[in-house]
Amino acid sequence: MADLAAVQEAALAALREASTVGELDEARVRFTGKRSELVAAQGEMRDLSPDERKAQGQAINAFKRAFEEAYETRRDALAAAELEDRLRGERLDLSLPPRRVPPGRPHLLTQVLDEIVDVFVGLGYRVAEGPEVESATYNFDLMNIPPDHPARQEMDTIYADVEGPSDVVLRTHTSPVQARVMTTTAPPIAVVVPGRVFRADAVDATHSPVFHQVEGLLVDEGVTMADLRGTLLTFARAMFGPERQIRLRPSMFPFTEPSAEVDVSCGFCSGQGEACRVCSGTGWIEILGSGMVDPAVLSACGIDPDRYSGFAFGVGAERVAMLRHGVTDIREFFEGDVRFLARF
Amino acid sequence: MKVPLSWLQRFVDVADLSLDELVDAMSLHGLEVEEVHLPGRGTSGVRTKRVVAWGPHPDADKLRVVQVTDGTTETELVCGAANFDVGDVVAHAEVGATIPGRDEPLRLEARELRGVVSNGMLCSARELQLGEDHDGIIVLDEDTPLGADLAELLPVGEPVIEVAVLADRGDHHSILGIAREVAAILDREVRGLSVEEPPTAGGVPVDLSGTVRGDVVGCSRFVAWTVEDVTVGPSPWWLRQRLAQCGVRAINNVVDITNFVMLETGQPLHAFDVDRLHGPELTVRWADAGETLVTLDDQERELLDTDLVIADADRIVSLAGVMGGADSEVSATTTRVLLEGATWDPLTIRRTSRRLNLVSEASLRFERRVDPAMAPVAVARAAELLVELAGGRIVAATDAGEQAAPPPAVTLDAAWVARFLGLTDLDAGTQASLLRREACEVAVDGTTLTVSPPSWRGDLGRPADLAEEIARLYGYERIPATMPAVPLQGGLSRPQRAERRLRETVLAAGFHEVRGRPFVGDDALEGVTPSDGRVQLTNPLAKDAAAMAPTLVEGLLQVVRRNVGQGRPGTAVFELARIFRPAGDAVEASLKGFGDGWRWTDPDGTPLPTQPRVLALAAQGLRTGPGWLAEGETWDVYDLLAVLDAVVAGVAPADASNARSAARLLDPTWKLERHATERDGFHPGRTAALVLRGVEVGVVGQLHPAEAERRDLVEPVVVAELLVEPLLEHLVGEDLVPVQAVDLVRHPAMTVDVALVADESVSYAALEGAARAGAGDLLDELWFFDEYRGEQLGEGQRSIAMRLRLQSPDRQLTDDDAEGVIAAVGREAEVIGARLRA
Repeated sequence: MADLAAVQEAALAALREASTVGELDEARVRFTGKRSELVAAQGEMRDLSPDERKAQGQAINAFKRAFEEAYETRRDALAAAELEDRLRGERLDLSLPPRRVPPGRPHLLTQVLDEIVDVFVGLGYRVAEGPEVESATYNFDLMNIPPDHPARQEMDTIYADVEGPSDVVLRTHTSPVQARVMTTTAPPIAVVVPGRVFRADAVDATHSPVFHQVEGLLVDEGVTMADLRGTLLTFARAMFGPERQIRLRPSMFPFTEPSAEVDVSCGFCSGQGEACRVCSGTGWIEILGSGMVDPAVLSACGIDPDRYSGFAFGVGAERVAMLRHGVTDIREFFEGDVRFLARF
Repeated sequence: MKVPLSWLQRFVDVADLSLDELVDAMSLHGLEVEEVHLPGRGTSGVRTKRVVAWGPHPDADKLRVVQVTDGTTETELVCGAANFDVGDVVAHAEVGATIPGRDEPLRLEARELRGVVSNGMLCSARELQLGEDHDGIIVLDEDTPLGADLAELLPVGEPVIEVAVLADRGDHHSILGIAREVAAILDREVRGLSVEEPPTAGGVPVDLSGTVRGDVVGCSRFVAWTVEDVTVGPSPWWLRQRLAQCGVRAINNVVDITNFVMLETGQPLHAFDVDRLHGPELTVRWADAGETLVTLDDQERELLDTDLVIADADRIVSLAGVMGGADSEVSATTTRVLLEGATWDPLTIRRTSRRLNLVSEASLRFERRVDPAMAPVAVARAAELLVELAGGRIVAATDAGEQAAPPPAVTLDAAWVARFLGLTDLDAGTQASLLRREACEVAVDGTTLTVSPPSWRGDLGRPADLAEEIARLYGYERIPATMPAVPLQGGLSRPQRAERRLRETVLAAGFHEVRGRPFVGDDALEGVTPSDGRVQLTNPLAKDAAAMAPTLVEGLLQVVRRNVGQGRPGTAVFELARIFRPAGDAVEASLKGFGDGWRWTDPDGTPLPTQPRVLALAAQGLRTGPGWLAEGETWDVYDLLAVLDAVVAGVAPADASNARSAARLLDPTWKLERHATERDGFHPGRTAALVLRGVEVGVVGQLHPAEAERRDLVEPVVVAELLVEPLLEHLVGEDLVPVQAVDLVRHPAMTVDVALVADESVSYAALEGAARAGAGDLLDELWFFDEYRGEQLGEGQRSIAMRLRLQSPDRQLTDDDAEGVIAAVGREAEVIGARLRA
């Protein structure tokens, strides 16, 4: 009969000496597995007398309990130590930059265009689009700019070398889309037209042959100049702040009558005077051109000017961006320097 | 138009207003003030002196030592000019005086010039900002009082208000016209010009009969006065100053007077030397094609039969309304002057001026319509000045033709005006009085106004024009702010929303958005769907901008170059914009299956150049982020493909027919296929054409090393371009089937890895297809995870490993299912020349 007490002592010693969970499990197999002395002792039980069997049974159970308890304790300790080691080894310096390419930035002009468009979408406008290489009929004739009109020359048009029934031009404004909408849609009409336009201007800090406008057009029965003012005031406040005022100044555009330049009160200097880089102390900043749609434009586009009236306006996106963000060189918008692109 | 304040004051009393008040009133009511100039501001202590003596500087060839006096005290100074002599009256900036400087006024001190002390200086016109003249000092009129402050005699420092004249207000190209407008704005009287009656003696006979052609009356009126005994010489200083303030150069008294009267009245005049005309009769007629005339600027002009001319007995003497002829112009010896003022057809003058690229002060005014009542007034005014300033004697006058009819009366509904402007309280009486301020005659009958505009307001022909006048004078600031009562349903369309999503997708991948100028030169790289087609420009701004961009790739590569030049280790950018190809270009084959929103036409249906929107990407060098770069990790073509796949997935229709998988599956016909291709400038082994629904819609590739080097770019450089119209057009109109939810399978899933070995030429797409086919209905998801080449596979062979996730909606899968799938994948592989890897 095995000396269980000695085995037990050896087993508990083995558990104590195990330094890893693996060694611990080896000891468990050695002392309690199929070929262990413990199992052998259990096997020998049936050869014993009832008294001896009882005593041996108790001894075996005691061995098992002691072993299990020691095993569990030791295992918990070893597992905890191993986990501790692992965690220590896995420590990260979370102040390192995360090595993922972060999202890029939308172009400043995209942000401004979307913002302007969204103001009008919120007011119930749709967004209309048109081609950038455009028929002169839409760009000029239907906008009440006949071939000999001075405005046609003043617009510094770039012409495309394309044969056709009328000249083909790089659109000089987004207004031809007004004509495209009015010739295909019955009132009520309310659209905004964001888009790229072109002029034969040499590139310098304040001139660009390419720039962006947002055109607006609303036509229905009974539309008034007061509606124009209210709409532009709403727009100015949405873009520049709830305290802004607007001011309309008489002007002249071939496609509107009456016509008005629109100034917004300067929010950059709060009337601090001539030092203001934005308004030069006038307190007002010119932001857009507008007016009541000229009856000749309505007629040319197939809308009865005796029944319908409307207003139109055009905002320069670069101008808004330059005012709001202090961009001083219009070339920056088109050069693609990542330092500029990523800033906004 | 430059308006000196004192000249304006001559016609309308504005003395009670400050300059700011005046400018504000003008700006807010229709006179756009561009700038207020203050020429000569900062001048003080400049006095009139007479030259008593002068002699050469003892120690400098080009300087004179001059003695001047104010009548009592003599002063010595040094002067570099040589245009004066003893007895001349000059402008002396004394010691302690100031003259205008570039920024700040300059103060004069006694200064030694090569041993002689100069007590102040004698001023030129330019030094006092009184004109451009810097050839010599100012020599004033003989009878100028001595010792007077120059500011008392000349408008030194006087405000000159520059008005931006609106295109339809030709009448504002004159002091009188501006004064009329200011008077209307302020509701004040205009002090008009009163001129003498013409002499009774008939002047030069003039024949206008040939100028009527169809509807066009080339010349409706022609006034010509003959003035004799004229002495041509310099104009008095006040006149030269007036011209200088308005930016017109003084020539001699005769020419200066015609210019002065033109500035004052808006009526251009021309002065002929009567003795150089081959008389007696003048004929106004259309030129014969091919006739020529040497104009005042000594240019020979070849004329067409659409040009109006004035001819004497032998030849053309003036290009009507644009410029006089050189050999009948007034010279120093002229004594007999014919002053001509006429009313020309605006359109004719505009066309001639434009065709010859010859814009004069006269043509600028005539093409914008000159008041037809002004010719006799202006000629009389100029003749009087010739008498006063050049010793002339008025001897005869001709007045041919007749004054053009005044603008027709317009009937105006005052109630409509009030509604249209949103000024409901603005009654007919108020409207009538506002219009009368603009010199309209107005008859009121209830709410109906009958409005007869004055002769100079040809722009007032319609009710809307009059509504503007009323609103302008009443004050735009008094129009209330209301919102339109229009029933609207607005918002972005589905394609517009999709376009924004598309942009967000690309941004999320780390690309910055670029907006370029869409012009290219001759040697641009090809992008999507190559073609030689270019939309050339007739008047390009530069040689390297001769055509509209047929691709965005070229512009993006220039952006990348610019950033490489800035020393950036890596750059990733994109642009979403239109490309431009001639109508009928090869690119249309790629677009035809996808609606026609990209097709734009002239009103008669003629197609305009094709200008579809494309998305283009370019990435170069290392991946970087804020504060780090990944050494050795460069952008590659797969990065671009990942973006493009995400873009397509973001807008393509979901596979509504797939009722089993919980994952959002795309309609399988909306997958962007990649077909290896070769393109100039691209890496032959790393370039693919992108095909969607059977048509080529884009390209992706790495720049050829030689091309990268040619462009001075650090490799690698990868670019892609994709037509987005096909992605957006399918969202138009049709009712999209909403994606339906499916019951999620609850039975456990099983994962199986398979590796297929095949020749390099067998594409991954084919191998994946085999795996999918083999797994059949049990397949829930498939992942590619490894590509392997090695000796045990053999030369030219590779292995592709994929993990399959299997699941059945109605039972738990067993090992038998897994084995069955692997066997089936093996069978499918054999069909395409692949085998399961052992």
